[in-house]
Amino acid sequence: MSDAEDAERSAFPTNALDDVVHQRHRLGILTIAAEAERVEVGYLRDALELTAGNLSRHLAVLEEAGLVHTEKGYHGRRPRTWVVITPPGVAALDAELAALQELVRRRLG
Amino acid sequence: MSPDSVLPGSPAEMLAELDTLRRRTRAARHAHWLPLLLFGMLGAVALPFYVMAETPAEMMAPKQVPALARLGGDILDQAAALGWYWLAALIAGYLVSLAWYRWRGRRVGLQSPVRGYVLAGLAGTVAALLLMLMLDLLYNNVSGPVHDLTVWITPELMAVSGRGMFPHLVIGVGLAVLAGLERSRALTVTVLLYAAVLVLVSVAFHVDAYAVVDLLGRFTFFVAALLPVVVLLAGGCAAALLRRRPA
Repeated sequence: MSDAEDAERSAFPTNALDDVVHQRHRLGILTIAAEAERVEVGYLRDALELTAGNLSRHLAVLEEAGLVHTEKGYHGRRPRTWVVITPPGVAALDAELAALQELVRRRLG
Repeated sequence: MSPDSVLPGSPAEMLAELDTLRRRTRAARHAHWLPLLLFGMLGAVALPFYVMAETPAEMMAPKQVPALARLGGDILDQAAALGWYWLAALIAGYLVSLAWYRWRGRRVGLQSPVRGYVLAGLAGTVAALLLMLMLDLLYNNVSGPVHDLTVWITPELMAVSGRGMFPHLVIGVGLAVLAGLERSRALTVTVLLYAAVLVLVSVAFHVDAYAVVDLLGRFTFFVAALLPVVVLLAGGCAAALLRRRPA
């Protein structure tokens, strides 16, 4: 990142918000995934109160951006899909949280 | 709200919501009550080995114990049996813990990164065995420069290892790593308490070993091993009772 870009982000924290990440449910998915080695799709669906189709759409967006990857497996005979956050996903989540905290700080300050 | 709509509410509200989500997820994957109870019970089963047939003498000749059984120390009556027991118990304890976390992760839908904990425990077991051999070398090789540099700590560590307390250090190291991986304050507090008890027991012997032996007689080493076990069992029971249901 160039110094000019750094300066611009510092001047306007909203510039640091990533359109892919800056979505309530996708941010929720990344937050949960960052807390575990991997998280099962059913857990995400329940925790975020999403329908299977909705969750699938958000996961597709995140996977396409390289922020998560999915792993297929079985628990007994039941197929399971696990979601794993990638290093770029962790970085994107951290950047998003930092931008939000900066916005809060400026609002209070 | 459409799936792609932007965040509702203020950034502060959003951060608060994410914080709640993070805390719920963290609580849902906490499962350290089982390792605490497991190692507490393994420690409790080992306790009879720490009871001496008679009150320990002021000077005790170390026993000859096979290298792999050194975890039981070298001054207890049943040092070798205790050493073999601890070697098997520590390895089994860490492998059972791994199986527990894998099973629970599949059931809840949240898998914890506990490989570091198991590796720390197994590596700690090997390191404890190697350390005992190294302490023997350092203590007996009185002419070396390394001996001069380490002479302040070598007898203290040998006294701790001789009483068969190194397995408790291995358990403590493993649990400290687990507390970090689980990001659990409750487990961190339990580990600190456990470490404090281990230090307290060691310091009691360091300050006046004869007074300790006079007071406790043939149960001297038993009491030293009992106190950390109580902390593990109490911590495990508290964690089991207070654990939250998965979100």
